[in-house]
Amino acid sequence: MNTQENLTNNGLDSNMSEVKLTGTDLTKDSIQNQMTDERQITEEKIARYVSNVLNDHARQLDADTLQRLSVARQLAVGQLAGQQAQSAQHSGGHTLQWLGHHLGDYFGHHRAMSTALIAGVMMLTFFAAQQFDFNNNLENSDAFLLASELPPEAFADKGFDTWLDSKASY
Amino acid sequence: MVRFQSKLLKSSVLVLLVLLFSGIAVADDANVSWAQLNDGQRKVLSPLASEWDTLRPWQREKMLDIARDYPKMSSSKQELVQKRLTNWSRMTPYERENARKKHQQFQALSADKKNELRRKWKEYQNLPESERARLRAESPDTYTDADLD
Repeated sequence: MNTQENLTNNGLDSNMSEVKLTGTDLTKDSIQNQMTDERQITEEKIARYVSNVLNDHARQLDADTLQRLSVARQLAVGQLAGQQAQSAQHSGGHTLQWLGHHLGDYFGHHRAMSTALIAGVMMLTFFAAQQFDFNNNLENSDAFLLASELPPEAFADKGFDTWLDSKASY
Repeated sequence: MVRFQSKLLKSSVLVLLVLLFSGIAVADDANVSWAQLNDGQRKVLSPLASEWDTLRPWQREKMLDIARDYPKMSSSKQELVQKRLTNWSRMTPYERENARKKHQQFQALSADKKNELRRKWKEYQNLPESERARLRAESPDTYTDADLD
């Protein structure tokens, strides 16, 4: 009863939702847009009214009710803070555990793929090591020694070493 | 989890077998006779044709390595390889190993030092053979019978 009166007091009458067709140039879309706008305005006014009513009633609450509401609010806030702290700890401290658990599950469920993956990595490592060794030894291979600026006899002749040492000592 | 470990073990064994067989394949390559060599290998190793079948497996393996690296060289270097191959095959393992070490040291020298060493080698070669023999005998690392194997 009071609500109906207040709605009337706040200017919410049936005239607000009426659409006035004042010209022949109004299209169907413009009529629909106008109706939507007016509906939104009406809803906002209702919300404002409800808010005012609640505030008015809250100001009239007795001390006992206010005390109970305050305690309930503190309990609710405390519970929410506890949930948020627990959530932060779960996402931070147990991330590795969570990751390990999920990875373990994944490899457990995809054994064939995991085995192939490990075998592939081993083969790849072996061939990469061989390739590195091949490239590394290429310049030091016997073929390049034979094609050196000095003949192999120069490197193997111990008399040449002795002679070089004797020349250096002078 | 036990099945997973079993599969992991099987795959590891498989990889090891592959590696083992690849090693055996390399070892078999070292036992090939002159007739079993391909045309490219025979062309490179032609200075050793008459004595190839008397070479020991490890000697053949080293010579096959030379034939493998040969195509990667310039024509002037290929010519040097062919010219020096016979003497190289007649060196003892000790001499060859010594030459490899000295070659590595030589590679690390500057261009000036290399030129100087080349000049000194020519000078040394002009010494009488008796003098060079005396210098070899004076060397602290004279060869033993085992080295001449």
